[in-house]
Amino acid sequence: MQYIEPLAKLIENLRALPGIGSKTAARLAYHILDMEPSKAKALAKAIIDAKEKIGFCNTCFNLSDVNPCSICAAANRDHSTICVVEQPRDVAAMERMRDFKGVYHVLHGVLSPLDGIGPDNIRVKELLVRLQTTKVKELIMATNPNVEGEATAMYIAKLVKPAGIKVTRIAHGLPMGGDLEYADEITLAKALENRREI
Amino acid sequence: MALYNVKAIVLGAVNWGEADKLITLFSRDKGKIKAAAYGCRRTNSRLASAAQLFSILDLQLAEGQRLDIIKNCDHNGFLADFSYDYTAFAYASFVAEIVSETFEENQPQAQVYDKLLQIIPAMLKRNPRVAALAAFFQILEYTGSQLQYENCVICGEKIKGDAFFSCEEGGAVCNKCKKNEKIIYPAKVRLFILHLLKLDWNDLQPFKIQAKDLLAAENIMLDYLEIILEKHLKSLDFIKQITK
Repeated sequence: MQYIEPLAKLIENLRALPGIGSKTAARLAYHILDMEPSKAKALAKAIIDAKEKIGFCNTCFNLSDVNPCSICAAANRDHSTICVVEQPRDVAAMERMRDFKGVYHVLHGVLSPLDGIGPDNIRVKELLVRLQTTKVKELIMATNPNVEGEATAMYIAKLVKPAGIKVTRIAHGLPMGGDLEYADEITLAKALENRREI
Repeated sequence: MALYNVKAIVLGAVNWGEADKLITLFSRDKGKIKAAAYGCRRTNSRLASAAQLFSILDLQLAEGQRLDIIKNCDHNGFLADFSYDYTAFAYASFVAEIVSETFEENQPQAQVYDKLLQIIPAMLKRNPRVAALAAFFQILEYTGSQLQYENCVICGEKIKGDAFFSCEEGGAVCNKCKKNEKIIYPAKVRLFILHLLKLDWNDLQPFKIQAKDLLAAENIMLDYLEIILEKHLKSLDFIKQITK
């Protein structure tokens, strides 16, 4: 379908977003056109502000508008326990738990040979520098439980363990509230492997 | 939408959409299959195991117009546990990338499937660099683009002693037929490649190889890969990083 030029441009830009196809992009574009001008301007300003003001914290490499970020600057958190995660959204997921009082380090990826992502492409060097300059007792490897995540956790553990830092891996197993009969084979095997005495 | 069942190995998985993955499978009956695993990144998804590299799966797929869709999957274990050895993981991924780039979809490749079942675990048992090289030369034999190692690719004469190699011509070039070939093909490299071609994955015997001969065979592999694939393999960048 032929759209007028500004609308076509808006649809094209919305389509570039992940998970948005041409029909959804068109629907969103028409919705934006129906919005009050003040709301449309607020949306545009929010996008520009987010892009301009958000950067990386120089300590943990999480997304932040201040440096260091609020987690790294917090005096009431345990700075000797670092939880290593793949992406900033994993920090958000961990923070939703409200149980972890340590700090984070965001790798911005995992070792993935098929994507050509090696140690130089993720924030491993920065983590090693941080461990040399900060007194750290424990490193919790919270990369995703898949082959790439496991390989990354083991790679970092091998680098860090000689320095006498305790390296732990988050447990793998069954999700709370789920039924055993619906669990897949790997998850069940991992749950059994990581069982603990009660 | 027609349903079909297949046993396959996972050779690749990339994130797709919000919680989905695009999986590259390799099966005995249908060869390479590209399929979507919808919702498999969610923690409670039964398809989560479908996205694990080097898994052996029993799958039920639905034929789609552009992509097949994974409906069900049972996990039958991993070909190898690479979590403790990222070097072996890198070379196994290199083999996986060669297979997924070389073969077309929906072309049965029973012999390649059987070879993969032996090759991938071998990465943990033997030097993965040599194992990956052997895997390349052996898999190449099933692609229809195999190279000529023992006879001159131009005159057909059996190669004796040192010679030259031309990936463009498709193999060894004897001293009489040599024109602009720059790659030297020493007799030792020829014997090494012939040994790799006959390597029995069920009974891997140790052998010695000089670094320069290994490098020469690797150069032949890399040159030829560039010619047949016309693209750079991403796993090679990873291997360069971890071996520098």
